[in-house]
Amino acid sequence: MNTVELSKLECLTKDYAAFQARKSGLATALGGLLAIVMFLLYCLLVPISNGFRLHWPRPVVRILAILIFATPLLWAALKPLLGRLLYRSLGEVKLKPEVTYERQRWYWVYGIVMFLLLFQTAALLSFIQGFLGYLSHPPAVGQIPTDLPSHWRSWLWVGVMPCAYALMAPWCIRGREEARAYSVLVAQGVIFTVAGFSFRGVNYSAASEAWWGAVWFILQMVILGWATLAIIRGRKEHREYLAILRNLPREEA
Amino acid sequence: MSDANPDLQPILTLDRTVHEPSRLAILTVLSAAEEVEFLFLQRVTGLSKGNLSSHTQKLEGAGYLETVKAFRGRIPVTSFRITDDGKVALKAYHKQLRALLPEEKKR
Repeated sequence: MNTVELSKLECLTKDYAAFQARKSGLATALGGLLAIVMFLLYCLLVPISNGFRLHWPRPVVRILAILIFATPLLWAALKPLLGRLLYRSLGEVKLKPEVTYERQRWYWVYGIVMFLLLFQTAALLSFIQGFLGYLSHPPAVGQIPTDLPSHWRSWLWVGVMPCAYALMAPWCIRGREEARAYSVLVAQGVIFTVAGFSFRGVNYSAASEAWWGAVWFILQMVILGWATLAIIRGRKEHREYLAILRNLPREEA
Repeated sequence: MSDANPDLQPILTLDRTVHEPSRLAILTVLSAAEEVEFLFLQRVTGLSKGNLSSHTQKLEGAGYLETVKAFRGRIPVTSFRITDDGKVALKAYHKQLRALLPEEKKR
């Protein structure tokens, strides 16, 4: 066994451990796929245009809404399960902890937590602003929304959902690729929450509705573009992983 | 050993536990990761189960690796981890070997 073979052996082990830690593109591809699934589920729930809306029974609507907001958590749960199913056959190799990589991981986690805190703060400020407006100009009896309990339920999403996302972040993000996928799914959850609010009795002017619609459309196009690329990239990484496996020596008879 | 040519002395002082090709391969693989499962080590080195067990036992005896026994469900899983002594021994071995090479062959 010469030095060249030894260095190859070392590289092979490092690559295998790195790929296995990231589940060789699984996190990226699964993130892309679930971002598209979230979008499709959301399209089933909201009016796509003024003239077209699918009408579902209330329990189905509730299940679809829960599914949309639970998708980032579903990604976190599915990833190790699929990884165990697909990549355990050649044994586990734990990657050496890298300081730079670990630091970057925490930057992503802090970034996600800050984003969610900002979102919650903005939602709270909007609520206070709306509440003060309500006190200074109380609406006439006929103008009070009749579905107030559902408005309170939507506050449950704003309060609970970001906390669940933030708590899961350090547990499910182990690298840049996973952080990127999780961030996109969390962003989708937040975008849909904001969009959900806009459909829940808040009266927008036609101009602001068009403006928010355009922002929503651009954001969705960007996310769907990322999702498609993520699936392609994940597949490519998976092929690279298979190439590493092919490079391993054959088992002795 | 006292009759040995003094020029050969550096070769004779090489750590024989590390010098054996299979054990060198095992230590090289272990030095590239935090913890390596028996199955991967077997595949990557191309050794049989018996041979691998025997070599890992020798390395463990020398204090160069430690065995980690765990269960995945009901299946026992054996993994290995290089110790600090193992890292030092491998580094020293590389250094010694490089010193023995003629100048033009050193990288």
